[in-house]
Amino acid sequence: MVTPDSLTDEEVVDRIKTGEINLFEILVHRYQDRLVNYIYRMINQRDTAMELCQDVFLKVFKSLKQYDPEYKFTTWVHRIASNATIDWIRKKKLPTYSMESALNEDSPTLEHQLKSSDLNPHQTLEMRQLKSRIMIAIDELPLIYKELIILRHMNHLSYDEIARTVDLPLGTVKNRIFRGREMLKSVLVGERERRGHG
Amino acid sequence: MVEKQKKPFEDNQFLETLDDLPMITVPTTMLPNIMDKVMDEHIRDQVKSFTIPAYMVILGLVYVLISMLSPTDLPWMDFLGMLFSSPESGLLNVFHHIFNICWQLISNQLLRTLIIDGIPYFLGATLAAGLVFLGLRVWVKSLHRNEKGSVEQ
Repeated sequence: MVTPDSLTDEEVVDRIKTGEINLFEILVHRYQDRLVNYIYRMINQRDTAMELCQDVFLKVFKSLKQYDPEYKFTTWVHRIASNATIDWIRKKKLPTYSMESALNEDSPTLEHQLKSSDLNPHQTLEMRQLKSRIMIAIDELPLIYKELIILRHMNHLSYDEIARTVDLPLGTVKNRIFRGREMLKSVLVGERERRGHG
Repeated sequence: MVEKQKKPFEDNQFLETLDDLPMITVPTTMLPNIMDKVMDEHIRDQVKSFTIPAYMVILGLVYVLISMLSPTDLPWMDFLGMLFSSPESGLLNVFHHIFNICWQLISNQLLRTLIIDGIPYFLGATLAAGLVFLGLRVWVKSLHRNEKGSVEQ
């Protein structure tokens, strides 16, 4: 027996197109976390991310007739989210996140935190702080790197899926993600060194 | 040694940390909100697809009703014939005919009913038209409720 959960995204879309509108719920359930987080990391505004994500799903629903099953649904839905988010960013002038204020907190060295494998409560706190600093550093990245890093490391898309989502050559995507990571590392190292000298 | 200083972070650990960044939680109200919007959109699409023909049929019925109550020099069959046999089939043409029907109804039929046949006929025709529109409204709303009910199940 075929249950809705066992259907692939593409099969769900087919059935929605034939009139089973309520199955759209499956797609929302599968993608809402990833899309909300993607949008939130891109614009850094939680409530707006929620609203924008709802608009994205509505746009996805309205555009289902144009969906070409030759392409993966994951890629297609991320592409709609990406376009909507970039449009929103272009329309608004977003406030920049103050990295200095967050990075100057008195906290353990990054090297120590990264090398921790079995974490005790104190180390868990340190790891949380490190992740927080990484997220701030991601937010400070130029948009072309930031989007790709989020798609790769938060939404866990493959390089190929990312290339299709943002409509860039695969090589460019790999290169930008590599450079984005290097920029993150350099920001984190710079922050550590500043604290070391301070 | 110099190389080590340049790469203080282990790549694997850095990547693991990147892959394991915290996610914000999505409120449980998100899914029903989206589905409500999707259903509204679906219903709107459905309504759009039959709104114009429905209004044409209703106006036609109203016209027939009034014609039966007060025979005029423009028989309803001729009028419907004119409506559906137009060589132009564009949307504007349809709206033109709808407007034409409304104008005929208001300026000609109802006034004639009011002046010649008297107030009871006029009130009867207006009431009949109102009931038809009310019926359509209730029907559309019940469709919306049915769609929502099927999702909740």
